[in-house]
Amino acid sequence: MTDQFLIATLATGSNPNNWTAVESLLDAEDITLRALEWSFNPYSKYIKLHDGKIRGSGAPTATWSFKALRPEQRENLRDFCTGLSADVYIRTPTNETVAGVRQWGDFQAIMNWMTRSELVGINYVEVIEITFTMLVEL
Amino acid sequence: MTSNVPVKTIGAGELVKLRSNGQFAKLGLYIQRPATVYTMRVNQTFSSLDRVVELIYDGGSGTYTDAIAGMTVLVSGAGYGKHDKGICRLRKVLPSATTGTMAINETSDIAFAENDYITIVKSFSIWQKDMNIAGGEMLMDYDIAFGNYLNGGAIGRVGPIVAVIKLIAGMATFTPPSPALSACYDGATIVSYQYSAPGAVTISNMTSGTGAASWTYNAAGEYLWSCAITDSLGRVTTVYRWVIVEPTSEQFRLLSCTGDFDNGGWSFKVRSYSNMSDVYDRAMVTLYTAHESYGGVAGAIGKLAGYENILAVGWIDGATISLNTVEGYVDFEVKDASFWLSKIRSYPFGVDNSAVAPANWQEINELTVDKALAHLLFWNSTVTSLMDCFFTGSTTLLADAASPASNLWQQLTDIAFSKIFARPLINSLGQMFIEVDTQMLTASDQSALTIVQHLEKYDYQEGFEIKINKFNKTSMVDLSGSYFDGNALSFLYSKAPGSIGGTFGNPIVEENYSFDGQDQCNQQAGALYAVANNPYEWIDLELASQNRFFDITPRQFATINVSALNNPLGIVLTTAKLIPRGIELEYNEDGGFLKTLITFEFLAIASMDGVTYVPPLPIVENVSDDFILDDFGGVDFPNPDLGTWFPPYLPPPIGDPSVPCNNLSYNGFSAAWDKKEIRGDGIAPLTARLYFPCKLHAAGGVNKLSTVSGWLVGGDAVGKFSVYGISGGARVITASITGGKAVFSPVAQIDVDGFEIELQAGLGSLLTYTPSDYVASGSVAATNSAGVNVATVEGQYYSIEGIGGPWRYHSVYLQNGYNFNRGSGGSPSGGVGFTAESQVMSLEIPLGCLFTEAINGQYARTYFKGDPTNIFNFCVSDFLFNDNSGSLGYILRKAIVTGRRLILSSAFIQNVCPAG
Repeated sequence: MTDQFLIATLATGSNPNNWTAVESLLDAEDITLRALEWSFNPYSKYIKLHDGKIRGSGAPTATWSFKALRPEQRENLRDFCTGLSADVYIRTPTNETVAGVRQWGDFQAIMNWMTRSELVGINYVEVIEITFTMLVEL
Repeated sequence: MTSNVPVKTIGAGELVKLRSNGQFAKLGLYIQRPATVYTMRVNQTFSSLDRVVELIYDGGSGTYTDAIAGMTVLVSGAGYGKHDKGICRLRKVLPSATTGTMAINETSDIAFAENDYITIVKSFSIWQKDMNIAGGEMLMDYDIAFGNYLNGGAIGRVGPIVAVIKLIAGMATFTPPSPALSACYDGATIVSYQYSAPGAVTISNMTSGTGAASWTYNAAGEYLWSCAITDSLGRVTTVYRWVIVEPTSEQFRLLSCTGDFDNGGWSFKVRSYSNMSDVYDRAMVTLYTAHESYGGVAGAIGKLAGYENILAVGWIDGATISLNTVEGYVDFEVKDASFWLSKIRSYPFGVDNSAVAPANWQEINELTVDKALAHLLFWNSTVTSLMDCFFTGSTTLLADAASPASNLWQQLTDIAFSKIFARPLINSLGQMFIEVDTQMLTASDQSALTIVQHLEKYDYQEGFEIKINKFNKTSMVDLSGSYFDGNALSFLYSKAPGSIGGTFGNPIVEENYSFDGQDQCNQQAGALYAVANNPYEWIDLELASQNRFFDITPRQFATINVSALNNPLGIVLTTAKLIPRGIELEYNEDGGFLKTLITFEFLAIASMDGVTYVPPLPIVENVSDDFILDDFGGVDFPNPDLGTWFPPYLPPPIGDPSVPCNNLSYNGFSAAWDKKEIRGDGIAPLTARLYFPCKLHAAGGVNKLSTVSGWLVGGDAVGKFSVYGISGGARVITASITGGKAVFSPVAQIDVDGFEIELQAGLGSLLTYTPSDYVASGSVAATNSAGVNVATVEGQYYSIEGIGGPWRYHSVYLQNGYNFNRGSGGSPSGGVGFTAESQVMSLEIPLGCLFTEAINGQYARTYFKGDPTNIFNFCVSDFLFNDNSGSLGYILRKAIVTGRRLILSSAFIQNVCPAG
């Protein structure tokens, strides 16, 4: 598994070899992994049990946050989510490491475009945050 | 191979999943949009739209043999696939292609017209089956006569209504549960099974009766499968179920999903954003999980293999649909058979026991609750063909079973609950279970029930509240009913906790139940008392898992511990048994967590059975009519003929007097006799009356004869009473007594003011013995024959019974037995003998005693009349005392001996017309 952000529509299929590298959507000169901030939450809800312990429940969620995107770059991402949400495949980092090495996962997920107003600047849209919910590990 | 029993103890591997992190589910909603099976046009005019049962058609299109009896028929004046005129049921298969006559359920509310569009679609709904009277003969489902050996069939239990399965590598294999729990209730046995799965690409073991059948589909879609059950009479009963392969879910939100003990089943409410214009009322809807995950492991877990992903199933209740035109959604509720059976009208239902093969639709050989339920459901609805119906297993014989209720669900409840405390309930998979309530079972039967899960502290969220009843709510349970041995009824009474009630609470009275005997009556009284005074109220638990193993039926338990350290009262509960009474599934859309909330009832522990008693007789049974009203000074009473006087009772309206009597359908009414009991040794005249002005049907007409019932016979009263119709204070017609009913067969219809029942005088030779108040108890040593002398009062009846010790009754082998003798202590002659457990048991009446009966399986009770001049002695009897040890206990009670009598319960008057 290569450690890179990938995305695909359901129609593409579940084979990651056919998925699209996010880097390719954004032009090499403008995108580095540092430009895409991510988060991963293994559970969407936390339950306090009668014995005082906590249990995580609900599906994992992930976010990809882009500091700024040119309109063409935004359009490339929008191709995967033309409405407010769409079913997609993604590869994204998890919180876990093994021997100091970040663990990545392949998931089917619901891609949710952000519902707040987009901050449109000169030639850039600032802080695009995409939330992936109902992550089902492949 | 999967047994069709949707209750199980959660396995270790499943518990690991239920206690794992990261549980979530994706929900799916499948609304049936049934395919067209056959279309045709109406090819006739209608002189009347009342009671239409057949339609002449032409222009048929499709494969007519694909139309299955019971399928849904859409009627439209506008086009095929529409139902603007109405929906009905295909009553029989189509006779021919293109043109012919189709049979539908009898209907008066569809405005059929020439050239109407008829569409038969691939769906089944719950429908009533109406009875019909033709030429004086009762017919089921309009035209099915009694007596044809092909009539009747099996109650098929082949699996839940619908399964939803996925394609894996392009294939979806379905394995139905075993059909082996299917059964006949009319004496036949099941011989073979034949599955059919149209659309399957491979099939295997399609005649298996043990759950080995399976078949495979290779494409997404909705598939109907069937199982044809052949019984020993050569009849074939075909039942139908559904498999949905890889469905595309509606766009929807789940608003609620609950199973409720009080409502009897499951319902769920959804908000759909999909196009619903092609969905009709009562369309079948299935709520399922499209994906489930437990600790990162995908796959559903649940109570029945193959159906783990089914949350609930039912049919759309059109009365609950609401639109939001701004946001573009439709809300509607989906309800299971508990709701739809309560909506389906039904005629009054009644069947009688028959000691021999039944001669008509209203007789059942060796009638039990289960036989009555099977008869009711099979012949009055279509549910047995589209869902599993499980019954109580009770073998208690009934003299009759009847319900005047106007819907099927209430009739089921009337017959099951009012006889044996059983109740119909539907589980989340749409299977009906009619079972005796858990709280009413014996401790032994309760211990045999499945414990689904022991709930640890980490199985539920936060804490829970237990409301504790420190004081009893009920001081006494007064339970009564009858025992029917196939020939005669005996009356049974019991009080719990005993003859004296508890300190707190009101007494409650439960009556007219059916029992296997006095012991069961006492056990049920004790159980009722325990439930009424359950120290713990129902509790609500929020489980910390997607746990769908629990359901409101069939009977099952959870267990729980409560430590004294966890509550200020120091209450300790150790593996306390909990009965699930309500379940709510709450879906968190953001994370996909499907939370389970369950309402549990604590199992009440009955510490003792009730005690036997016979209700005291009222000192003044009836106000004497031997007085003159004019003697009341200063009051000007009318002075009618008191022979025609009745209690001031206003009977209900019977029907429209303008309708000719012979055109009336069956009906049934309740009214009260003016006495509660007539005793053969009572004061003459031994009569009771019932005021109910009506007209009795003439014999030989198209209607069933008018009848009156509502008495229980005691002693030798059978054949020693008569029932009359009276008018103007005089008897105008005499009934014949048949099957527990008074049947009137007048030559011409006749008006009556009411009815009179008269019992012949005399105590009779057949007496009933019942123990009552405790007098004394004690024990006698087993090492000698000295025994204990029992002092008695002249004329008082007594009973004495053995308790405790390894002593058995026997009439021949007197070693290791006990005796109750009249005469000097120690004489074994003429006593009731008891011997070792391995011997065949029998009884004889001790000298000077009146009646002896076995009790509690190993001891005996004998009755005698007090006589101070003779000594009664209770003693151990043995040929060799020196190898004995221990002692034998006894209880002496007063006893009640009753003879010929009639207990008059509420009378049930059937098949009468308005007077006048």
